[in-house]
Amino acid sequence: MGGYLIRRLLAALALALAVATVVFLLLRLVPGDVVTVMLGESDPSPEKVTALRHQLGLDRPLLVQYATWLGRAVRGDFGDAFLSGRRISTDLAARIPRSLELGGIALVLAVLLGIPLGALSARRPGGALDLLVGGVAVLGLTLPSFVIGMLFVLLFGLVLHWFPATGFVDFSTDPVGHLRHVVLPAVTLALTIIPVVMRMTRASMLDTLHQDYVRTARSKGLAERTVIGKHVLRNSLIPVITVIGLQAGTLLGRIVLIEYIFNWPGLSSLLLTGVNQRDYPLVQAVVLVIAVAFVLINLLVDVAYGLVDPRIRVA
Amino acid sequence: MRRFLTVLVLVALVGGMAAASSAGPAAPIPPKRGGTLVYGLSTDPPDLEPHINSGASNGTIKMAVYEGLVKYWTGGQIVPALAERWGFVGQTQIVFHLRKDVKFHNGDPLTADDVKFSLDRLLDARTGASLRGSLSIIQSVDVMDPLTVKVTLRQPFSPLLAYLAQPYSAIVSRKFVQGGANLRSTMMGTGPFKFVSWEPGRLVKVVRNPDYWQKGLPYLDGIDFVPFADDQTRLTALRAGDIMIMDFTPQEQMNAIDHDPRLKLYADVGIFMCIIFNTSRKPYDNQKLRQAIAYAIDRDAVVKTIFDGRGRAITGDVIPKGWWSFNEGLENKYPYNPEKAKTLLREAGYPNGLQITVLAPITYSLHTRTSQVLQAQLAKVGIQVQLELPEWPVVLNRHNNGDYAVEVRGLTASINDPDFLSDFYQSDRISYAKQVGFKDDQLDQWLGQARVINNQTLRKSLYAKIGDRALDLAPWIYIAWGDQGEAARSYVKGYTHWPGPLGRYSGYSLLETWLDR
Repeated sequence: MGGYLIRRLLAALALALAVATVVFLLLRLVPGDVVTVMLGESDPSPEKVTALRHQLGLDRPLLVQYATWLGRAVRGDFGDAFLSGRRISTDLAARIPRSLELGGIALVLAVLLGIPLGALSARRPGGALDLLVGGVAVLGLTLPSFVIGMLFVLLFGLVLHWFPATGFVDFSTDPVGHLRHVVLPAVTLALTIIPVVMRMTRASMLDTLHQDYVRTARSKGLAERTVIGKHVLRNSLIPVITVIGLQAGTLLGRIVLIEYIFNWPGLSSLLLTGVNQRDYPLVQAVVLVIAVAFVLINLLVDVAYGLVDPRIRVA
Repeated sequence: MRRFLTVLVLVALVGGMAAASSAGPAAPIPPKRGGTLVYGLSTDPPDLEPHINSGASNGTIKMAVYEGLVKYWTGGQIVPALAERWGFVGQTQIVFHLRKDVKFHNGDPLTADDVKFSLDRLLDARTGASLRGSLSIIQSVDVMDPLTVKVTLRQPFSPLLAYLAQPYSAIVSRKFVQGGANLRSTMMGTGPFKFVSWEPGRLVKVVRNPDYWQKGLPYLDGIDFVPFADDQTRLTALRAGDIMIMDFTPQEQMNAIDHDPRLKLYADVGIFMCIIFNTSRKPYDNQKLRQAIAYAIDRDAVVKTIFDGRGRAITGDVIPKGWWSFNEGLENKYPYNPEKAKTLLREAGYPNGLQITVLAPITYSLHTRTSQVLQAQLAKVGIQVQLELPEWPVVLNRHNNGDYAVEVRGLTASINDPDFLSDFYQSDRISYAKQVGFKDDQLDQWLGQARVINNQTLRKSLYAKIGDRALDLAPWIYIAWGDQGEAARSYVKGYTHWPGPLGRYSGYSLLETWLDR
């Protein structure tokens, strides 16, 4: 297990480094110059351009810029944002928990709803419940998350006024207000995962239900509840865990979109501000955080496999 | 059925009441106190620095907390703010007399020393103040007594007050700043609202200043400024009631907002679209060709298609109607006249038409769409337009290097004084003329004169000459003013949007804004 873990860890590190390099280079290859954008039309005199370029360290060789940036990033120091001059790490520290909150709630909802729904559907394939849940799931899978989000805003925010359409309130100042604000974005996000988890659970269970040991369990006179709960469900869950892990990874991209629609002040608005203002350090930092999170989740999934299935450790 | 009847009766009742109330003479409702206004901003404030203009959206926050010696007020006039009166001593000295009852938010009284400190700070290169270039005309600031300041200019400069009335000439506290406060991330002024907190990307919170020198104002308990990444989301938030007012209302939504009884639109012309030529590049150095293009544009059609009808064609000078310097005689210099355009094209040496290249940023739909409409319109007189549509940073870069032939721009006046024309025509200004080598001695001379004269009538006649000559030379072609403005819930009262380029300073009217609910 130790060797497997180290191999996985090294691969993850290499991946993170590759992503960091690509992010760094891409931003410098796009046309347009951050300095001219920052100065705008008011005073683009050559002296000012040179001075600002120097102040931002953009006059140094690319390799030096890269090494400095990477060295600091490893220590969690992303420097200051170009425009605001604020510490990027401070901004990140405020926003990462908010994005994690959305993602976390969505995942928990997906597990709590997706697995039972999948299990129930598998009990009577082709039954009324299975058809209903399956139909809704197809809808959830095919509709892009931002469409669901906008429909929710329209229905629950504008027409019914059940929940605020946008915004954020701190949990510490107003817990109830916070929860009211979190409902729509979190449920929207959850709706994109629930169908996947539900269908995987259903398929996996149907597969398991036909295994010999299930028949044995039944013929030995075990109660149906014990058969399903102890033998079928547990054995069906391995692929489901995989799917949840994969979903958690792709969730990051969707969170950005959902935050945008609900004006949730997480990582996405920071990323958008950075992109709009061509704030290299800011964009680099946010993209790197998202990429590293993705790598980490994959690492965790790999480790989880190893724990669950001893055969994988050798590979 | 019974419920249906009840509803019917209710509707009739409410309708009757509404009719009754609208029939009587509208008595002005006394403003109600209290409540927090939630303001949806179009951009996330990059900083809170009072002397740096980091966008109009952000300026609204600064206007709530800071004040200058003078300020703009409804209708565009400059009114006393921290200085209750002022007077010229000769041509180059102005003495400002401060109000005696003004306190900073920390309780310290405002003194002449703070004014000197603030103006010196503004002129210090290390501050990076936006108005430093223009206000460098100030030679020295002297404290005469605790409530009197003398400002000495290097030479006469008539638009001085127009600069000092901008929010970016704010007066800050010497003690506060020298005590180590970082004005990029905190605020402390004399304005109607006190700064409470700033959470980047989420909220800037200000509350009512109970010791404000204008007794009884402001009406609001406070303002929450909430930035949004997306305009559509912001509008949805307004419709849902999450926010009560928003700036920079998307143009294409203005008519819909106008028809929504729950909302009120506060808009007026704020941005103008124009074409600027690289006058040192062939064939754009040909005056007749530029004039031909000016006649070939159907500006009313542009207003309809680009601004959804919410704007005003500019067939003459760009100085907006309502300004003291507006000149009626220049109004109809370039009416839509394709025949005349063709004649001029022939005279310019292009009887069979020609092909021109127009640069516009794809980033802004206003610019892109304008360039496309121009493409269609110019084709009718035989001018084939080739569009170049890169991203905004690329356009900006090429603009600054003078690397363009014809550019479509959306601009506004930098100050509320006709001296803003210097930005466009004066040959040594780096903003537009210099990169492309546009130089007209006559314009340079008149612009320089108009800047130092203190007599408005004389200035007006000079600007009429400047406008006429500039239109004749046509290094720029003005196309249309488009509306810009705020949208609010209808219960937001007392707010006013100011006309023309002054619209950016409408945030000053938050002083008298109140909530009717």
